[in-house]
Amino acid sequence: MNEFLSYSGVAIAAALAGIGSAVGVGMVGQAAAGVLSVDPKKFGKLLLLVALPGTQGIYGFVIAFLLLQRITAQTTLTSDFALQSFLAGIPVALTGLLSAIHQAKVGVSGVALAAKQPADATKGLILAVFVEFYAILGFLVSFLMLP
Amino acid sequence: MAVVVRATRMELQTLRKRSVLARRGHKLLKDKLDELMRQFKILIAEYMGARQKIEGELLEAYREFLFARASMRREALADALRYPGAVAVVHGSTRKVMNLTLPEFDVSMEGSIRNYGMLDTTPELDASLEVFARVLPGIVRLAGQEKAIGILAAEIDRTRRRVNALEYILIPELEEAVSRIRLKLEEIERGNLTRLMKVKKMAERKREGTLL
Amino acid sequence: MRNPYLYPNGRIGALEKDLLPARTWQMLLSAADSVEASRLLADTWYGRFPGLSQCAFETVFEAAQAASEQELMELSEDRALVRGILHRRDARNARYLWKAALCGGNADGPELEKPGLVEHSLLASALADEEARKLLPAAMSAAAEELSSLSDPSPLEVDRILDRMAAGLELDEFSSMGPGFRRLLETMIDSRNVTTCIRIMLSGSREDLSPGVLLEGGTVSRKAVCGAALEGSLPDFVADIENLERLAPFVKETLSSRSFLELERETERVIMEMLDAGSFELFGPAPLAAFIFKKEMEMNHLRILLAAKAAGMDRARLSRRLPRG
Repeated sequence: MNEFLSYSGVAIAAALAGIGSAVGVGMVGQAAAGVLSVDPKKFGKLLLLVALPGTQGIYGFVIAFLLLQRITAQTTLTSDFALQSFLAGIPVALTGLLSAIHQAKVGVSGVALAAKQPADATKGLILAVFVEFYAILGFLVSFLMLP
Repeated sequence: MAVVVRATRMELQTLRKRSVLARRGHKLLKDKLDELMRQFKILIAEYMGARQKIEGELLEAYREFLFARASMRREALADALRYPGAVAVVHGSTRKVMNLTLPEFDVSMEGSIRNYGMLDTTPELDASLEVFARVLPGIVRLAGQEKAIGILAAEIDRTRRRVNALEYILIPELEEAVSRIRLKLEEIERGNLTRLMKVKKMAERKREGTLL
Repeated sequence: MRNPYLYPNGRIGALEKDLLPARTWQMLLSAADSVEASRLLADTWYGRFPGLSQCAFETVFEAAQAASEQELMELSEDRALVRGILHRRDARNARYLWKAALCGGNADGPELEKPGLVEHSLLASALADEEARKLLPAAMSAAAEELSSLSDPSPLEVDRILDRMAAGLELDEFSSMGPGFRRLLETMIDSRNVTTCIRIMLSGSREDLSPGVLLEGGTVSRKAVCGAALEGSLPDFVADIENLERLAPFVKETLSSRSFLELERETERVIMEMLDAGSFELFGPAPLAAFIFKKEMEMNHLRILLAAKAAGMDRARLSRRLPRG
């Protein structure tokens, strides 16, 4: 039971954050592909916008990895440890999932902005970065909660 | 020289009468020409004014129509104008000026000019059609005026030729003939007179001879 | 989280650069004649279509229209949007065909546009054939039914039914496109109703003005527009219609001068501004529809500009009608 609980912390962190990133990158990627089909020279400008929702997945992966290390280092899993490792996975998982999707929406708007007013492309990027901030907070909390 | 006549007193009488008649005819024709010219001037002035006004309005309507045509689909424009809602009837009548019959046209319109839907047509079309409809009676009237001017011009031309013929050919010729006959008759008169004087002298000399 | 509009809207966003920028409009407006204008156009999106150098503008616009529609059909997964755009042409074809059939057109049939989604033959048979009617969209088949029940209708009656049908079709298909776009359509209907009122008033047949001749679906009711027009308070009424406030002075001006040029210009300007604003809803079909509308409007304005240039119209007069530059 303890093992189940602690490993589900690992799984939830990697999976939910990963799903969020995959959906997010997918959304911005579609929009960017639309722009690139007309104007391939924009690739450099759009690259960062597409990649940005991907970071949540990385955060989730890092937490999952660190968590896994701690769990395997234990000889016996106490129920306290198991609960703590489960809870540690949750902040990065939920903030990752939601922030990636919302960041993707901002990213899509940023792509539209970059398509119409190339000079303002960086502004769209900055807006998307604001969403990133909350994913980072979730990541930090998860990190501090590591057992 | 065309009038070749026998130089008799009777001829002189006839020629004199003809000459007087020709003069009177000339005067009458001249008066008619003046009157025709006056009518012609009135008509021309009317015509020019109406024409300028109509041309101005048409130009405006064409400009409006240009916008309508450009902003409507070709097929939609054809469709809108294919089913006319108004019927225009041209009435023809005549009036007499001098002895001439001049045509007069008038047109009456019934029904609404705008006979199409509102969705696929532009309001500019309404505006241009409205002007076209307003101008149409004017155009028809203009046609009548134009014809009248033509008839009048032909009549003026003919009258002027007659006046000229009388003034420069017939009257001078008659007068010349009259004067020629008169000269001839005077000559004959003088011949007779001298002959009579000669005879008288001879007769007197004969009487004196018998007396002496 | 699948959204079918991300790719299309990204592409449309980039394609919007093909719309003529204000500077090009300025240059076009100051072009001396249509030849110079066609030279200016050669450097734009329109340059890719053959016929421009020969000044065969109609061919160019037909090709451009076909290209935009092709793009729309390839991009849009929203059948309603494609239907909405293409059915407008079907509605026009239906008008040409049905009017000719009911009111006796010329013998060799009316001129038709190329079919949208409904074949000409189907449209032609729909008046008489009930089976064919079933294959048409609801609004069209209802109109066909109504028309076939009339005996010897006047062109004006036929047109009234067809106007309602065309507006209904548009509203049916486009109304699923989110609030922003719906607002645009409602505003367009409002402005059409106002224009219709003015047109009827100016044609001198006030008795023809009834709510029945106006279109449903605007922000203000048909009865209200009609009532305001009959009372003669149309300008004040327009001043209270959302988005059309600006038109009030032009309505007044049109009623007195009988010239629609400036009213048309301002109406189009309002719609253009709404289109620009609406094009930022990125997660629905609205930008796509807005793009097609913008393109159509642009071509319409180009037609006007080129016709005016060919006729040697001066710039002041042209800018009374054209909401550009």
